[in-house]
Amino acid sequence: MRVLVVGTVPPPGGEAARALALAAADLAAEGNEIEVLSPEFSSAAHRQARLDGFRLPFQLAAAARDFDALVLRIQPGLPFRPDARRLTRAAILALIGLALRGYSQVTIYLDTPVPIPWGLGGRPTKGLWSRATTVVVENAEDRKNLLAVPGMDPDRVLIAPRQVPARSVISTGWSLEHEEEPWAEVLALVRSRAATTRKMMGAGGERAEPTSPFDAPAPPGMPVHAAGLVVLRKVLRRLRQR
Amino acid sequence: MAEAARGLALRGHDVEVLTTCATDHYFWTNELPPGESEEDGVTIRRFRTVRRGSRLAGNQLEHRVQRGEKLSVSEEVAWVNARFRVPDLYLHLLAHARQYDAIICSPYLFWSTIYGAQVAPERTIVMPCLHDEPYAWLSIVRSTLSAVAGAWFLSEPEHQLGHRVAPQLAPRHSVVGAAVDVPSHYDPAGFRARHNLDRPFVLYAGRREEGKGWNRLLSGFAGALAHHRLPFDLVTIGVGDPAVPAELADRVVDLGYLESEEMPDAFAAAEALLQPSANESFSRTLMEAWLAGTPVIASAAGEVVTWHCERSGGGLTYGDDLELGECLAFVAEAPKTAAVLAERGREYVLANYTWDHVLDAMERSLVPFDLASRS
Repeated sequence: MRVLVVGTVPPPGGEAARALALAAADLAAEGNEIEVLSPEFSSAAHRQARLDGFRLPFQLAAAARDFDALVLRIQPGLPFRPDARRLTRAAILALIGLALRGYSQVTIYLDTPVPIPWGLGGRPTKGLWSRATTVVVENAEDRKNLLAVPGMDPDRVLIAPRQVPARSVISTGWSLEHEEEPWAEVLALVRSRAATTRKMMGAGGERAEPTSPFDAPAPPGMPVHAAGLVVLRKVLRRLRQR
Repeated sequence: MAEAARGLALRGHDVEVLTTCATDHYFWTNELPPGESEEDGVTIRRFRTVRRGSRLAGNQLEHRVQRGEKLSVSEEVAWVNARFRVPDLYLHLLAHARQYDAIICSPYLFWSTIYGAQVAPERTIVMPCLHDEPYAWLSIVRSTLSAVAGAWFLSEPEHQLGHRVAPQLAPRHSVVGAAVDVPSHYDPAGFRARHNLDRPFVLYAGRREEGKGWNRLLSGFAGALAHHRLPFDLVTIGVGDPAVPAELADRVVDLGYLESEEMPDAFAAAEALLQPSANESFSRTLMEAWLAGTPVIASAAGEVVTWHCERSGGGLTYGDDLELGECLAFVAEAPKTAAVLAERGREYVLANYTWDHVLDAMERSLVPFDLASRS
């Protein structure tokens, strides 16, 4: 099966990113063909693209013909900004619901607190939950809240097994040899972890002149208008085939 | 300065404070009445500020100074006059300088110091609170630090900077440090409840302005949130418009200006204090956080805070946003070890920066002035 995994994976890390990467690794170990699409330009993903707001449903729709299954992580900024208006939220959810129809299986991973503004319920979320084969939440509280949504099947809502605080590819952990006088060791760990991340981002391990994420250039990947063109090309191709 | 004045008065010195009627250092508007009053055994004389002349010309000079351009001496004088002046204070000093055994002027870049130090340089000590910034390299600052009899520095890095700025530094100079009060108790839970803070947070306490590293900190914090699973909000206390971008609106809490009684509880309630400023001559917030048992994460660009962190073994420094993220991840993932660091910081403050230590150093430094005025 060809599976599209959408969300941030390490580096640089974070528990949820690690969980998604491990899920992708498990699927690959089962013999599936995996492609990871991440919004983070430093992620070890197959592709990177901006996935905020309306860009996510367009990307999902564009990729649907190439994949059988989808693993989607809903995380801060993907797709919702915390200040998303109610109407924008509804429109994005409706489009995601449509895009999910292109996949035979859909697994949704939800970060905690669940980054869906204006709550988990309501008509706009119906398309999302109804198309999800499985929803993976991080804790019992989130599961309870999700099951409060009318029509939610308890068998489809799972709690993610707690990840062993294993070190990720880049993590060296914080365990120290000299717990009583930790300063020099902690500082060395901070420097080395950051240097590793820097290297993986292509900065060669040297401290870089800081850049602001607020004015950072768009990460490489398919821009939203390009995704729109892909959809259009698909439609034209199908019309020609008929 | 005010606390040092009170401390010296408590030790039996006759202390007067000559100051302005202004309450903020942006506009220097006269908000308090001029005249004499007494607080905690200290006589306070307030004088009106004056701001006249072309604002445009003043702003142009300001921009040139900030760009690091070399100004002529007359342009430097025009620059210092364009900000604010306190002619009445100068006149008072001129008339009464000989009544004081020592005159202490602070900080270095204001008219009151540049001009006040010229009245009786033989009995003047400048407490410059120097930062390595364009203003420090003006020739009027160099000549002020060279002409006076003494200088008090808050830290060894500031002392070294003083030598670089003024190679002919005032002969009687010393590092006196600065002191912080040791609170008798903390109420972190009460602070969280009063301000509806139900999530763990890291704290920035200070002016929200470019020069203090606030903007840089915001973008670094956003980067850290993107790269790490951090449970922290960023709570900010202080004056100035925080200008939080929409992307961070739900993770940054602005409490604005807080009364000083609230500050110890704020430090105690935080998971860590963030100190992004490179322009610190002492960094009182660092000391207050350590006293409260809170770990410190500071910009490595700040020579003084780096010095404190290294000497104490109690604070982490970051050189860029990725290192800031790792420091925050450390506090989130290894809170026990972070607490050990904070404990080292607390020991450092208690060993070096209590009022007894600092007032002792000031008094030792004042002895020659006292003898000189009696002879």
